[in-house]
Amino acid sequence: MATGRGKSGSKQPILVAVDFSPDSLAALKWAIQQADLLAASIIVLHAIHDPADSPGFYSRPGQSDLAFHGDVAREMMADFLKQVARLEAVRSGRVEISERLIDGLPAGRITELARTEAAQMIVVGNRGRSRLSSLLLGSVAEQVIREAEIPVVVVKAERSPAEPEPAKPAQSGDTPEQGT
Amino acid sequence: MDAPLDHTALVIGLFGGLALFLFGMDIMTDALKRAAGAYLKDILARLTRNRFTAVAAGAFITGIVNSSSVTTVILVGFITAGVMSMSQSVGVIMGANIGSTVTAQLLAFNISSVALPAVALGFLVSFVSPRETIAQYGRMLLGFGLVFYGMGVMSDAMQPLRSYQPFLDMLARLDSALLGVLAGALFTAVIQSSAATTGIVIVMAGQGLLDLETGIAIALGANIGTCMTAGLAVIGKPREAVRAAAVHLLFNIAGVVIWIGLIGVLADLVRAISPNAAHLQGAARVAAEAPRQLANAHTVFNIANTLIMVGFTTQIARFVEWLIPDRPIRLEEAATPKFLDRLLLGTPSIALQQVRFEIERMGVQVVAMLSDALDAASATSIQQMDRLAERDKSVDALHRAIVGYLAELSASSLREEDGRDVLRLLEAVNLLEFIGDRIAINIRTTTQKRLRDGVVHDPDYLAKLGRIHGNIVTALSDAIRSVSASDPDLAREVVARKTGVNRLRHAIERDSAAMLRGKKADLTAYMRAIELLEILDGIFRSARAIATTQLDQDGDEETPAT
Repeated sequence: MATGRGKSGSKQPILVAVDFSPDSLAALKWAIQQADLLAASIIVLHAIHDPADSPGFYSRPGQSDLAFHGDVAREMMADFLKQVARLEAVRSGRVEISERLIDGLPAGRITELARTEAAQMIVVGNRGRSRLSSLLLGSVAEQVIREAEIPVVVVKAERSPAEPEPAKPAQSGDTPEQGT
Repeated sequence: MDAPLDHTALVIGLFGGLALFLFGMDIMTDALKRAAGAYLKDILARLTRNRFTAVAAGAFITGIVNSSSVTTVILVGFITAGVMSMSQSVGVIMGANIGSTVTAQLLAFNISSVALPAVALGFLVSFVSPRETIAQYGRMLLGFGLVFYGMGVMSDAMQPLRSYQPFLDMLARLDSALLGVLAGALFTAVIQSSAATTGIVIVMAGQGLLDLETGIAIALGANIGTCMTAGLAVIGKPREAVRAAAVHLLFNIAGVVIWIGLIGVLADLVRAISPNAAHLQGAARVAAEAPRQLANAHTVFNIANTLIMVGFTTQIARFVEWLIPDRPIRLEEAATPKFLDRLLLGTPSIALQQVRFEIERMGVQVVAMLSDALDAASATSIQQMDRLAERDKSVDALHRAIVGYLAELSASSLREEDGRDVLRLLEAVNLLEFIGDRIAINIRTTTQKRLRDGVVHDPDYLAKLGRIHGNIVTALSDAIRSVSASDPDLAREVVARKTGVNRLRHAIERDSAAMLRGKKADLTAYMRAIELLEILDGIFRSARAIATTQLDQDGDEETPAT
């Protein structure tokens, strides 16, 4: 499914892929700073996909009935975006954020959406929820770097709980067309 | 010299017996699904919290309905609906194999002597019981009897084969594990019942026509063949559902790979652990021992496979994702039903749940139309309203599809609660469609009239109308959720909104009356303003009626929902 709000800016958007982890939040905050500098809009993507951690990524405590994963993801996204709503760049409307929820495997969906939205850059958190998947395929970030045709920035959250993330790019990938 | 074989009697006995067996299985599974279907959803929802309880859920459900295919088809339905992930389903699928051992163990009982009494008693109960649930248990007993009667018929038909040399020569050539597995897989895929294959193998082993090792190979093959049903069920379904069917197939193939070289060891093991009929000799001893040995072998390898692989559910899930990648992002067709799976019509409680999902999906479209309706109704051109009215086509298409599905569902025998649910959901979906029409036809018509008359709504009126509109949008959204989640508390909240909405309506009516007074009296503007208000109020009444369909569930008396 796909939901959106707001329009893309005149420049190519920055695509931020999130799994609502602290690293994802750091990635989004870093992307907002960049978007502010570049006068670009941001697309926040969450690929609805359960990474097999029991009891299930979209299970909620006390939930005794089957819930639509899409609905749970939408609530998670809303809570997640609240955490950046007060940032000056967002509050003032300088950086426009739209959201997308799409069923599918994260790495593939990220690179696919980057192509269809003609994004200028992909920003992802360093370590997400699906650490076990790296056994077979590598982390989502690694897969995105491998498959993307545009620059990819991987952001780490600072591990100290006191200060919010002054995020820093950890790696980047280039394309012949678009250098970083 | 061998006695001449009566081929006609053999074919009639075999096929007639198999037909009785499959018919009995069908009746038994169908009756169990109808009687216990309501609990299946809850069991799955509660027990898929971790991989071990998921295995238990799969085993329990399959053990109850006597069919691993039913379990996987239900899983495919839930995954397609987006309420369960493929990863969550892996444990359930593994458990389904364990559940299927219950059937094999039942079949190994030599109880063909009680088959006809069970048929008679089952028929009597299903015929005379005034309560649908009890009647379903009667049908279950009837099916159970038919299964064993069919086995008895097959067994009698095969008896002459014990001394028919050409057949024994053919079986001797089949004496290879791989051929046995292939035969079991193929036969099960064709008749879509691993229980029937196991039943026939038990009959043949009981007649001394098959040795234990070949019987085990065929039963292993049946585990692969049974994946055919889920494989057919996922045609055209989302990738997650296709992956679940692939997990089922891969898991069972892996199980065969593990055991195919160990069939001799397994045979020795079950000979050691199964009851021994040392007091009998020859064919009588084989007939007494072989069925239970085969059933035990079936149980041992299915449980062992799950124990071996339950620790790797995550890796299996990732592997299948790698094997079956996503399709390109595609916006789903709003007018095409997503959840109405005809394969689930045989499990009415699950089918009704799918209808609720589809109503929610249709409801989201109607709520979105209603949300946009006020802007379109106060716009300066009709184009916005035309685009909005266009969206009603997909609402109508979903309405037609849901009503058709409910009609098919109600054509089968339903439990009383399920029958009442069909009526409630039918009423809800009709009201929802009616709301779509009110927006697409009534609001559009009044907007057309307003534009024709050159009326521009007063900003103060629009602000107040915006408040009542916001209330009605929330009420409709809650009413739909009360249906999709069968939530009478939420339904009551919707009904209780009446006072607040009425107060807002009266306030707007009072203020609008001012348009009729003084020098600037404008009758046309007043009529258009009141018309729009009345349409919105009508939509609110329909939303309340949708919520009311869920309130009868609370009462003890069986008040009709319509």
